[in-house]
Amino acid sequence: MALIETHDLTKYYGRHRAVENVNFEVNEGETFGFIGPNGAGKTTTIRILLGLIFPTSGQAKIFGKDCVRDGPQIRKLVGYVPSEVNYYANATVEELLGYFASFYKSVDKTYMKELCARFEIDTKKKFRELSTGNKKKVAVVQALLHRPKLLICDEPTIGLDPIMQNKLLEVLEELKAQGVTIFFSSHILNEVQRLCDRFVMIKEGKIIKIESIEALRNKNYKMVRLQLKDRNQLKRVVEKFGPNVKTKDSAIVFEFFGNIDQLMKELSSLSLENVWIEDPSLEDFFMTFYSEVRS
Amino acid sequence: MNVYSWEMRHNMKSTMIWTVVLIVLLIMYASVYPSMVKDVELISRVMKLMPRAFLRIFGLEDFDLTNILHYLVTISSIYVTLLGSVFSALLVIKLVAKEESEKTAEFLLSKPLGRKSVLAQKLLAIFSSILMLDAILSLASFFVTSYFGSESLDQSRFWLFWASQILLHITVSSIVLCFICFSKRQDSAVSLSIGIVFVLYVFSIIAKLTEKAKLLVYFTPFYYSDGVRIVKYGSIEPIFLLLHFILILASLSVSFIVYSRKDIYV
Repeated sequence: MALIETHDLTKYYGRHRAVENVNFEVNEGETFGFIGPNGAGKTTTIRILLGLIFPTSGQAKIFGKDCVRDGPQIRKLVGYVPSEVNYYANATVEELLGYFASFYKSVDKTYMKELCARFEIDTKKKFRELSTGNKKKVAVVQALLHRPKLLICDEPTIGLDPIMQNKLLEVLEELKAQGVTIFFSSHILNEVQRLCDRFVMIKEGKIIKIESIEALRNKNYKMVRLQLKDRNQLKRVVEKFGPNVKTKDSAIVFEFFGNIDQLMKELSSLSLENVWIEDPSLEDFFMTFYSEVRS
Repeated sequence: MNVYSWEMRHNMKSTMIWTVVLIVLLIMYASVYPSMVKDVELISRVMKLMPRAFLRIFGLEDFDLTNILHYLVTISSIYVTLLGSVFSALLVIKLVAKEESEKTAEFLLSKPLGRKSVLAQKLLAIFSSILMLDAILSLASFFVTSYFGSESLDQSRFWLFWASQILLHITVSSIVLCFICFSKRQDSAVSLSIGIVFVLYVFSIIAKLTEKAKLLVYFTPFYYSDGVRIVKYGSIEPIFLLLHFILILASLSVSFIVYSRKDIYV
């Protein structure tokens, strides 16, 4: 069953187009990645799902109910982690958590305390005294305390240190194992690869591609940058790695598709001054994907 | 009612501060009264020298300063009528506009509560706070008046005056709420609402000042609840009472309709 479905979802801010004809479905129990650069329309889509803004045309449904008409009912079973956390600055975390819980019929207080302990939240502090990362942790607890069936995360790991990022991803993995559906917006590919079953890519308000992570894995490639001891070896590099080899300052840059083992063997035959082998940034990734879509 | 109790708890302090400050102002003014009564001849002579327009603004024309109720109402036109309205406007800002400008609306409106329910609970908290301020202030005013006044107080006029002020504060907060619901962003909400309050207040002064602006009296709730007039005649004209209720009802219904369909940009 589709837990979230959007039909030709379109939102204009005045004349400015935020999203246009967005169509996708998220199945129950699935972890669904929502990737795109800044300003692509990720947050707009999420806000429509939450009923903060209303679509210009088209429709969004969660649990088969309309997001405009049945918002309160839908939100009973939805948890939301915002990308930027803003709560009442003068309240203590304890007060805030009590307020968060008061919106739901029954909240398991021990579960709440467990979550706080797990994320090492100091509940005595005032919200304004917390660092960005700690604010985010409060937002995560807030989103989970009523055991939602659907979790909507808008770039949840931003602002967390690597240890906490990892902890959060672990928690999300656990939730996934419990059958919670997760809608995960991000521009960090690693996270999406680790967590998601399927993903959708959005750019300039339009859906570019919906794919499974399996397919993404098969598209795995590396950005390779070399500095050669001897510039004359350039010709050999081009022979080996094809025509998309570019020189940039003193370095040689190319994308490598295929077997890493083979790459290492090829590289060892060259005399190198320096080498970088990196995962493509989202930018690179998009460029490759985008040109693929257009051709 | 969780939003209501949250708001009440978190606004109690500022409501109490306003109340205390206004009570102190009241005591300050009232404590001058006995010495004024002593020199009442001198004061009325001085007043005759003042321009009529000036007297009219403060409702001092043919006013009996030996009556403490008249005195109280005259000074109240600033500290209860105007400051109380500023308090009401700021309350609406704090409970409704700030939610958007400080981006906490993103949290509040993503909870399982409809927009109408959120606004209704907030409105209830606003009205409760206004009632609380006015109730305490009117009681304080009652005791102060009895303490400093020499003759007995006309109680029915006294309480009618306070009822008119409560009604005024409710009307002002409803009008401000309506404007806030209409504005897309709340960056200038404070100046907008204080501006509305002062413009309406000035309208009522102009209306009192010149016969030419007679029509203006219908456009400002400050005139409907003009304390000086109410105490003088001992009643509020039914038309003004009706206008109060029409303004409140219209502002609130428009607010609810607009707020429940509004895009919240945070």
